[in-house]
Amino acid sequence: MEPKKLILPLSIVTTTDIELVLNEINDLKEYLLQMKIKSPDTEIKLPHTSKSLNNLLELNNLDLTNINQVDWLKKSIETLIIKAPIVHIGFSVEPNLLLLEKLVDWFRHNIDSSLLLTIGLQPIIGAGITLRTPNKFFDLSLKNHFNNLIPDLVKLIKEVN
Amino acid sequence: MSNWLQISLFVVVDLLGLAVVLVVVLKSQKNIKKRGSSTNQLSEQAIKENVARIFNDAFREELRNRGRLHFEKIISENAMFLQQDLQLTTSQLNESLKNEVTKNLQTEFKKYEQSLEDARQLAVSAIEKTNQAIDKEREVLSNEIQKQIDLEKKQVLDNFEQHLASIVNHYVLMAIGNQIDLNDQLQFIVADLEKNKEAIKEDVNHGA
Repeated sequence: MEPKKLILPLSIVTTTDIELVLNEINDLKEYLLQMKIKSPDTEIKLPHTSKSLNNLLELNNLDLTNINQVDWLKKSIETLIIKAPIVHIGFSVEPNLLLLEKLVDWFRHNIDSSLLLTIGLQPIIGAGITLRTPNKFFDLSLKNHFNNLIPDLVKLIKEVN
Repeated sequence: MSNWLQISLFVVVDLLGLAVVLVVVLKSQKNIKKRGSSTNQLSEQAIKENVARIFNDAFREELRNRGRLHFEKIISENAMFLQQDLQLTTSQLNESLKNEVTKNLQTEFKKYEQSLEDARQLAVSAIEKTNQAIDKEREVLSNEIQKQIDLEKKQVLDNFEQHLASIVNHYVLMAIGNQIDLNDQLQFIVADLEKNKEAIKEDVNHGA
């Protein structure tokens, strides 16, 4: 029973993550094919797979030994890479994985379930994030917040003067 | 004029003297005639001789000399009177001319002074008007410059305050930005995302 739509785990956050998973699947598929040719009667011992791939397989109830499922997974990921919505998030410092998982969870629950992120660094923003969707830019940084407060700050400076 | 009267009087007196002499002669001739016919006998030649004897050349010369002397005396006196009168007249004429010239000059000077005064008044009036216009222009210019200075001062002050605010912001960002942990920021980030959720969704789903 194959799932109709691929569900992404929270460990796959960025486009790089999904491309790594795709590469891993390609290697695995190649490995399975070789093993099948080399010793068709013996039981295939699967190599060690990444956490992201394991989560993906677990979430979608897929079996790597099933070549059809692997093919479906590969095709789904390739489609996802082409069609999945991507947003770019800029942080002031390197974000940790837990934070990214929480953010991508919010995005997949509220925006699109197949959404992927690209991560950038913008130390000048101080704190918060900047978000760039296909056509818009959202400055949710502390710097922007302070810039919005400049009139109030100028007013305070004038009062002091 | 009195000198001329005197000269005329003297001439009249001389003529009267000559007339008296002629009357005496004529009377003597009349007397001779009155003596009758006897006297008639006296020829005209005798009368002529008497006349000629009385009015001989010497007498005539004497009369001529006396007349000449008298005439010269009169001429001399009259010349003197004439000279005095001429001097007096000249003096009066000079005085009159002097007075007239002085009067004319004074009149002309008054007119000239009046013209100068009018010109001065005109010049003063023009200068006052010019000064008023200059003062007015200077006041307008001064106000304009003051306005520009105030505006520029305000702009400089606003720029300074704006820059000061930017500096304060930058300083605060640099001071605390790196000190805030991303995990601590998560709830604020999610809150901001919630605020922009619809816009993000709209752009992600329909914007591409």
